[in-house]
Amino acid sequence: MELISIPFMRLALVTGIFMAVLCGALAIFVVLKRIIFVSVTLAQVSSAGVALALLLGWNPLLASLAAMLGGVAIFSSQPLEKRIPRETIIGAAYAASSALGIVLVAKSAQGEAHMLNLLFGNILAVTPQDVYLMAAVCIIALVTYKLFYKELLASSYDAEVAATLGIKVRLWEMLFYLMLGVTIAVSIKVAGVLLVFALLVAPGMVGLMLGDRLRSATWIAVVSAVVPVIGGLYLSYIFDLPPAATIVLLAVAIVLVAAPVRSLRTG
Amino acid sequence: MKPLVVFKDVSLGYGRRVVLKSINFSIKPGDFLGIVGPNGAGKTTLLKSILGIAKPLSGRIEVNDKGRARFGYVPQRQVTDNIYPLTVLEVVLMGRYGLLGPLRSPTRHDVDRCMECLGHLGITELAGKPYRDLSGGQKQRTLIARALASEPTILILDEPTTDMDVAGERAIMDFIRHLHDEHSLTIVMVSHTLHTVINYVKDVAFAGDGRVEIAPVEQAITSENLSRLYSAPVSVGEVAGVKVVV
Repeated sequence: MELISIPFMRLALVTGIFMAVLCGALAIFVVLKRIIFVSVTLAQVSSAGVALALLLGWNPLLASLAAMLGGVAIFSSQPLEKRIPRETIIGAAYAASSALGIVLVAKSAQGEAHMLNLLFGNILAVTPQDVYLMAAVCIIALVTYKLFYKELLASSYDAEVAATLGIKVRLWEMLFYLMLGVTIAVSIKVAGVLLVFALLVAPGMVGLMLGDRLRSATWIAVVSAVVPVIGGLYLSYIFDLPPAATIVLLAVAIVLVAAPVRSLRTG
Repeated sequence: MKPLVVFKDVSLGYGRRVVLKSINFSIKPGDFLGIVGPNGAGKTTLLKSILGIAKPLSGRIEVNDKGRARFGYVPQRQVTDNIYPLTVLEVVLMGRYGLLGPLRSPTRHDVDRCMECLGHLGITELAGKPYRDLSGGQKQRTLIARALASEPTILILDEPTTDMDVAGERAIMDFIRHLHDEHSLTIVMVSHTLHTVINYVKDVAFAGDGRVEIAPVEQAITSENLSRLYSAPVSVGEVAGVKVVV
């Protein structure tokens, strides 16, 4: 209770919960579609956009979104995939965006401090505007997810059959990447690359380990994203720990607990 | 009777590489066509071009889509992804997605139709089971049920009996023939097991040497034709009323 009586902690908690719900829901598809490294690369591309904005004095969020859109266009269309494996393109984009971010931050006035913010975020420094933005993105993305769940599922599970059923696979793939990209671009501003990446991976693993159905797996993923956010913020406050890293460690701890639980259940 | 699909001087391939050229044929309602040929001859490419997944390098593929040509596609079961925690019913329900359109969720009617399709395949009791835990034959039946759930006019199957034992293969092929004979469903299937195809289909499309030749099965399946197509000695005979290829 003491935690939510502190204004900045309250803001961090609310923002973190919205972010966790959204990342948890998307994490299932991120893991199922085997695009974990797409998500980390999109995060890195978005952070390079933020770095460019810091150097040039632009709006960091808009720059981050613009960079993310470029990434989404490349990853969802895969123009070179017939010649070069997809992972290679993702790896090259990751290396390029990471290096670009470092170079741009090094040339900006506040340099190192911004670099640390990009990597680890500063969830305790969120503003009411950040909360509203995160809430809006969360609600819009989840409504979209719910409305077009069957198209997203069919395109992801069996793209060729979906196409023969008249489902516009490219459109739904693009929509998913767009939801993922916007989530990442908005989240890294408040939480940093590391935490966003962790929330797009660990809850998906837990959901798929413990859930027998896609619906239950998604709910488990959401819960296993929200719990470390709340717990991590609490522990970081009590023990004076860096919040993002504490949340990540808790999220991974849940994975480590889920694995033996799964083994016990399956005998 | 107006054809469902017409190929007009079509060339198929990847990038600039032409695999099959000068393809001219049509699929009419009630056809039962088997596509055969050596590995790499372009059988699956031909199948995917009928479905519209593979675009022709040249020529035209006309699909009578004014309510008549609706595809039910059964891919090779090995392509389905086993990490998805889906039940058999959820997989079959996907067949209804195209009929529902965006913003509409499956209703009780859709579930009932899917249960009917599972019933046709004799696997109603598997509806609530995880798809990934099924045997190969059960998965194949589930994928056929999904294709039937889309209420197709043409059922298109890619290697439906691969890796199945003799009994499983026969059961699947007898069911496909039943769909054709009793439900007047047009069937197109790819198979590399010749004896499967020749004992069931009416017409055969040979894919090989960059071309597609279509003929009634009795005319097409001869030792000479097959030996030429596979560039190896092949004999066609009959044992207890069943055609065999050696």
